Amino acid sequence: MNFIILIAAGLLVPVFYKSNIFIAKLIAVAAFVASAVMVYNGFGLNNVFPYFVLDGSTKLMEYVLLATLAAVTLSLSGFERPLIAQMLFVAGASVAILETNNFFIFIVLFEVIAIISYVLVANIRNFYNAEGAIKAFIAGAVASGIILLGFALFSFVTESFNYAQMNVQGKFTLIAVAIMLAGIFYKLTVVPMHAWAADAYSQVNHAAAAILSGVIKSVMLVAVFKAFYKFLVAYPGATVLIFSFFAILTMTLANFMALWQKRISKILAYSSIAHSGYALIPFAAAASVYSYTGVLYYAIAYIFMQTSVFLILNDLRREAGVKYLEDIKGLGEKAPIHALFFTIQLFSLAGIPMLAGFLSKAVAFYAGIDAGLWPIVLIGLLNSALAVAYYAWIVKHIYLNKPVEGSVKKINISPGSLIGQLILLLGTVYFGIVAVQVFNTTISM
Amino acid sequence: MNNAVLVLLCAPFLGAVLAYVLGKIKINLAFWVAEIVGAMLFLASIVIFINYSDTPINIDYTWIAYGDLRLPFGIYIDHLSIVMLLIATGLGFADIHFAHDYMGNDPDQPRYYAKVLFFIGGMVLLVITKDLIGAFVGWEFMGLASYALISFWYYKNSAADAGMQAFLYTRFGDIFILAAIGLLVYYAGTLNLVELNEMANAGEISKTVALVVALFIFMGAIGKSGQFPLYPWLMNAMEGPTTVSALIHGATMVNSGIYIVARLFDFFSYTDALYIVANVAALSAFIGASSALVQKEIKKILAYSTMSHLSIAFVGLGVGSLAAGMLHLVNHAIFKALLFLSAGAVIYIAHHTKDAWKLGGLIKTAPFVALFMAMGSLSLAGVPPFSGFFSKEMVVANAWAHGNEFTKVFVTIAALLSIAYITRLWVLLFLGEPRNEDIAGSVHAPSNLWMRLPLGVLAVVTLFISIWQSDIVHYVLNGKEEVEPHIMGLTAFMLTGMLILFLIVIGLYVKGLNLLYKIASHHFVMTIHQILFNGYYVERMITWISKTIVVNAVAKAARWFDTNVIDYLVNATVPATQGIYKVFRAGHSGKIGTYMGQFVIGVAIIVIAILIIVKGL
Repeated sequence: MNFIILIAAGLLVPVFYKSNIFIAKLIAVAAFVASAVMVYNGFGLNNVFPYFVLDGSTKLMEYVLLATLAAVTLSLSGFERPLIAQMLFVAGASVAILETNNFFIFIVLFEVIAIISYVLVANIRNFYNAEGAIKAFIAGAVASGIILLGFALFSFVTESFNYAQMNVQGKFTLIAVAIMLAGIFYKLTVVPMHAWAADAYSQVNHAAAAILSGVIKSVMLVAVFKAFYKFLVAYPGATVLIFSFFAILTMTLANFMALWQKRISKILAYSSIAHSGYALIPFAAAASVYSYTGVLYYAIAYIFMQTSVFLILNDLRREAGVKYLEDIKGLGEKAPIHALFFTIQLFSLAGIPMLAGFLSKAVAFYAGIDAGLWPIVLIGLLNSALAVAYYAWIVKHIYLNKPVEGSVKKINISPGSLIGQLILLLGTVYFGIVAVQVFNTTISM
Repeated sequence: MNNAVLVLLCAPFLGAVLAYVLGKIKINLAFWVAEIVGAMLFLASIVIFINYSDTPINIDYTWIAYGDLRLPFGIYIDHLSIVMLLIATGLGFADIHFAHDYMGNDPDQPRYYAKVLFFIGGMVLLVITKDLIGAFVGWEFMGLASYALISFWYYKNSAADAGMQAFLYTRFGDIFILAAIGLLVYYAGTLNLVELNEMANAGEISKTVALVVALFIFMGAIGKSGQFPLYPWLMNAMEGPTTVSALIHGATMVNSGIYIVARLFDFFSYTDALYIVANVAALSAFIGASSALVQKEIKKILAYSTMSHLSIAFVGLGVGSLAAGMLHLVNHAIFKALLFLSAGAVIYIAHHTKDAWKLGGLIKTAPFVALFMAMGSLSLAGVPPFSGFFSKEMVVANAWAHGNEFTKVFVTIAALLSIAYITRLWVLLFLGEPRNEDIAGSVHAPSNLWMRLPLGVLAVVTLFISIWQSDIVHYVLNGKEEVEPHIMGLTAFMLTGMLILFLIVIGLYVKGLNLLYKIASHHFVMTIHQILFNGYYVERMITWISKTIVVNAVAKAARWFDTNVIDYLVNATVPATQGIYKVFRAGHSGKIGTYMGQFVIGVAIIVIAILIIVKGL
């Protein structure tokens, strides 16, 4: 039901683009709320098709996803209106990929989301947008091909596509999974398949980047973990080796790259890549009973903070042309509300306690410790310490530096943005303090 | 019932945000938000009080349960909590109401009310929580609010310093509580306050550990409740608005130390820690009472008296009588709030003059305030039939029955001296002729609704609560039995002593000011006066210790290490990270061909890894 509501709204919304953007937003938000209510009452795709399951953790992730997308919808400006319908489609595909327990459907939806994301970045306004969009598209197309190759191989050897009954034995399965993982690592921006993301996230429209790097990535994290869980557990040696290696590589390289950037969007893009690295730690620790909790908590925390920072940057760029660190000097005076939201979310990204970013890291790292991967956790901790440097660097520019002469005097926040940011902030603070929901929903796994 | 608990937990914090935000839009709204939230909290407490059946309200909730780590966050409301709740929310409400006029001209009202509500939230959290974790959070919330409210007028250096001092002194005590939490997790395996008492009753925890834990918790109580030697912050805290002093440093927050000891009373009794509690408290009671005799500022007199009376309550607990300690806490909270608010009214109508020696003869302009303050003073002095009489008698009798010589003597002196300093204060403020013409000329009467009403209500309560003294005792004891000692002649002795002291003070300050000046100019008396006036130089001693040992020795060594070793290493990271960045950057040319190449490398790594594993299968 939730799926149908979202898709129907997605088809309906473009009708109002020309006449009244406000109604379009209203319909979108209403659709998000309505499908959340449906999810709450247990009416997911599971009532319609046999290949879907709606359990507690899926419900929680869907609430978080829908709330975030509603927040994004509210903060969009007029010329970003195409995103509204696209987001409804993203939501539809996301709830489906979260609910499915069938590998075939997983692959199809994975490609669907990839295609929607090419459309998302296609809101091209200038040369930079075009460059980012083309890079995302070409790299994405290659990855799709790779995934399909792996999947084709896999479909020869398995007898069932159900997550629980999939065939995990045999050399061909292993090779098929490896090839699929290569494509999926591309989507999750794992080094060395990350370079497209550093350019695409920072160059496309920031609102699209928020959806791409925040929402879609979080959904992918959870969905991929559920889809591949059986393989991860079946081959602990390979899992630990591959995921640990890529986790270390990803977070280290991305953090060092972020440290010396001058463009804010680039810092945020590399930060997003680094966070993929942290999120791979619970994947490596799949043997631990806490691994799913780690992934889910990471996705939930990450979706709020990453979406929020890109949306704020979108506001600032639109209102004051903010691009480089130089431009946000004295932002605390010029745009106090933006500055406050930005600071809290950056602190969350850095992992300051009482915010979701801290607890998610703690939970994810705990899973690593539980699986005996303490060297990787140690490197993760060192990396988070290093990462504080560039987050704090942004905050330092916001509050401690005087504004540059002749820059814009005052930046006001629109009511829609304010509500959207409040929703995201609420998520960041709530999941930074109240941890028990996430734990309770993941006990079954 | 559970709804009332939810209101108590959430309303103060939501109200704090709301008061600030709405207050920024229209300044009056801040007060009204605070007033409504205050009334709501008080109502919620009354609802709990009325609907309470014999079983405690017990809500278990786990905050974090992950692997072996378990942080519970439970709610536990029994008679003790309800008494504390009524005090905290009732006096909080009265205080907010009073602040309408007192803070009426302040442009920072939104900030003020937000902080006050935040404070009440912390206090409520402390008294209804079931676990030491929640209690510690509430404890620290109050510490933070206290810091913020003492330095409310932060542009005054003295206020900013006083806030900082309060924070440091109380934090010093709090560190011990944190240590106690750690010890309990390790040795007892529980932080549940109820279970700790049960464990102590069953003797399931080693006595040594329990003693250390109890003393550590008492250290926290010393800091929070202004006991020797961590009391100087309480006197300097008077830099804050008087309404703040009334609520935080007179009636509620300073009680939290007593509350935590009362809550863990069985645990404390089990370890003989009460013996130390009684002795430290008796000494503090004496220091507070004697120093209060010579202070000049109205609020400092009240601050020292607060210290002294909190100590008397502590002595009650320390000599093994939960009832006496808690009864005095309740009575003291009410009459001290009354006294502080009366002092606030005096200060308000005298245009923020705080020196009692500059005032005088105010009974003509503010007869009602004089009356209400007199009632508070009589209660504090322990004159029957006011409430203070009963609880003070009970503490002193218990001290004589169960305490050692030191405790007996000092607590009795302290109890007697209270009539002297409070009479002195009242006489200085209200009788005689105005000593300063400028101030006397501009004094105006306080308003009925906002100032006299809360004072009147509190005065009536402090008189009529005497009727229910034994009911309060039974309520707090909740089925436990305590034998109330009766010592022949003690009451008569106390009353006689009080009468003599009363006559001496009246004689000196009303009729014999010249004689007083003559006595005071004597060299020996002047020395004693200096010692008492400076609170036995404890503050200076603490400052000296922290300066010579902490700052000059430890901190300087640490600084050398920091600048020469740590900073060097930190600075070295700059070229190091830059070097790594330059290496990594080579791969980010922006050309999509390069990226595809890297992509292939990634695929290759995975495939090779898998092939190695496949080979091994």
